[in-house]
Amino acid sequence: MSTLVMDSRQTELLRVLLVEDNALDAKFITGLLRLPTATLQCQHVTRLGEALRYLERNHPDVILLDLNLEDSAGYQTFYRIQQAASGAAILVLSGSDDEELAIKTVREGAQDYLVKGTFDGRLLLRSIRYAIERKRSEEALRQSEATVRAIFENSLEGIVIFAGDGTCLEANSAAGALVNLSRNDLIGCRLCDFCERGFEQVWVELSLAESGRGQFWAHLKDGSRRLVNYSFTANILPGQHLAMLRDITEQQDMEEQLRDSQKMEAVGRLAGGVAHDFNNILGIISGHAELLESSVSSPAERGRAEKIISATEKAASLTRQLLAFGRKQVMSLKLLDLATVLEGLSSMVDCLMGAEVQISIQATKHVGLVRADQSQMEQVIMNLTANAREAMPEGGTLTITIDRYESSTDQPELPPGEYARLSVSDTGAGMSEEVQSRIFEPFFTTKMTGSGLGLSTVYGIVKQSGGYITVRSAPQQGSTFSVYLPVVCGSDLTPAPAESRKQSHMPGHETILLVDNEEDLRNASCEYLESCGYQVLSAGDGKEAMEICNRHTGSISLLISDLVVPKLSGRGLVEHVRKTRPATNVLMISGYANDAVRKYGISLDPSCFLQKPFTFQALSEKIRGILDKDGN
Amino acid sequence: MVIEKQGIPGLNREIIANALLQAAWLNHLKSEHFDPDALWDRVHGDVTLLRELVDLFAAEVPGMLARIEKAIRHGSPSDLEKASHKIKGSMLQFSAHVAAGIALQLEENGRIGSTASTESLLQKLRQEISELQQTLYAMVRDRVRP
Repeated sequence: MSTLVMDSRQTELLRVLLVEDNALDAKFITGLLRLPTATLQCQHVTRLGEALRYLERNHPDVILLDLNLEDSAGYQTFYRIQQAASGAAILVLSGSDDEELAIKTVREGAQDYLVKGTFDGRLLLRSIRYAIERKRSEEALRQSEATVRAIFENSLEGIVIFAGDGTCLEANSAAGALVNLSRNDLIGCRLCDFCERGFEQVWVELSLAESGRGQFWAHLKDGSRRLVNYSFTANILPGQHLAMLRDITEQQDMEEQLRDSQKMEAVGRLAGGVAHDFNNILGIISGHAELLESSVSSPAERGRAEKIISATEKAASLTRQLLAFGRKQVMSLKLLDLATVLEGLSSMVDCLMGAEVQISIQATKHVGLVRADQSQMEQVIMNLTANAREAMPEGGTLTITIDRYESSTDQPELPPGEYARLSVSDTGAGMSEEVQSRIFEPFFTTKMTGSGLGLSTVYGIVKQSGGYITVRSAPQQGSTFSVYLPVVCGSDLTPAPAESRKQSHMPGHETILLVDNEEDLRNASCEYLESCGYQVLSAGDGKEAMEICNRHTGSISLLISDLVVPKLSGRGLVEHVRKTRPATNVLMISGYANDAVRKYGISLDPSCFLQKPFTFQALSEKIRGILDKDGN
Repeated sequence: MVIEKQGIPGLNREIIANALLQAAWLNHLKSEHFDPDALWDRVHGDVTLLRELVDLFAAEVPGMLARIEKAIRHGSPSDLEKASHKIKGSMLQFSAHVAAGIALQLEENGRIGSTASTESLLQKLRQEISELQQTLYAMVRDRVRP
């Protein structure tokens, strides 16, 4: 083995391996390459084995190869070298002007085939340089093709190359999956086999426009259909068009769900806001009615006052429904057994259904306890039952079932988990898909007399309770509403007993600072509390309350304040009182739900909150609950 | 050869005269057996390289001929083919076309397994190479010096 380094004006040093067993020819070739324009580092070996060993550790740019060596001959020599040095350009230098062998080696990857005695140094050097450039171009092309092939095969988007008539010439696996076919089965199909009628015209227009984007429904052989986004480029090769395809069916479904959800959220916020203001007004009416009731002696006048109070309770019930839909209703969460809740309502369900409807109740015990508000769950059952009854004016069968359900698939409407399922089915008129899509919207009703709040209230309560609701229906095939509530523990725990209600007003003697910007309600509350024996300091805004707090020399046992008061927020007032009078207790009141306390950034025990509208009886109970716990 | 035109800058009469003498000298050595112009062009007029090649020719060719002779003596067509192929390549490099043609005949005989007239072909080849070697020596020794 010998090495020859040649001078050059060229900047790039070309590494050459000369495989030649004839010393005279080798000398000739290296001599010819001794040109001033050559920048070569030439390594000479005489045997194939020697060349292969050299190639294990070295990577020449070009190999000058004599095919007939002592240890190998003909095409086999070329093949072995090519296998060992796939990155190098190979130039065959032969003493045989063998056209057949020359074509074969060039076809298999040799860059050139030169016959000895027919070239001089310049021609050989030029052949070497061209060979290296061609090899590099081929390698770049090969790498580019490999990259494109990898992108093509691994793309999550379907990629298809179509002929001018829409026949699929090439496709990747993603494209096949899009129409439930293997890649091989898709090749040969026509695009229009999957498209809705009329797409042929679109295809023609796309071909003329050179490029375009759009959507089409792909109709699959199993009868289903997928919404497909496409990007089209005509004539990427003569008569061949490229289409990138993306299945957006699920994306569109999700977008629709999101739009529905946002719409419901907006309506819920509106409903919650209306209910808040309405609650304040109801508070004033019921407060004054209670004062009136206690101050009049005439039975007739007392009766009128009672009717006002009763009416405000009904109105409060309505606002509770609005708040439930807006998920702003105050919840009293307890561990509940749905079967027990249903059992308590069975007589009411009987009354509601009437004689024309047969009732079937299949309530499995021990399906697990759920964490929910009992009165809300009762409302869910009654609303669904009433809805079923109205769907069966001619009579039918109402089926209520409670069972345990395990969701194992990650479907957006019901994530995996253990659920207690309440299903209410009717054999009534059923609903179209369009009606089903709007059924939980507030004020949407298909009935002349409906308020449109029943199912939307159910929806709000279920969502507020961390559950899910589904509906399955078809025209003339009845409807089934299923409520899924997460099971929080087994049934071995005892559900919480219902709270007992005290009936009497509870007197007191402590000093209370009452803050509410609703003057009428504040005055009525003030009057009531004073009648109970409390000393009341009242303020219409936060600043006034703070001044009283600073000025008052005696103790203040309790601050009762609305969450939102002018000039100083409820939070600011609470912080001031806690700082200046740490012994003073706090009771927050609001037309919003108790989670608003947290939203306003106030750290407060949930028992120290009272939602408007409240009765004075409830207020007095709450006050005593707080003060007596404190040891007053 | 490059034919210069009158008035081209950088070419003086002496260079032109030497080139013409060189051409005449190579033409003197030219025969139907050997093309000195082609060889001279191939080595780009590098007389040092040519001398190295002629010296190596003298050192290597006897061994190549001996391999052919041995293959004929042992009746080995494949060895005859290989050895003849090798010397053919070298003869082509030196633009010795007649010698290369005789080597090709020997190579063909080896390839088809024929021993017919191989002895006489080898004899002819020896004669051609001997004459070529004398011409090559003359080419190196008697070349025109500018």
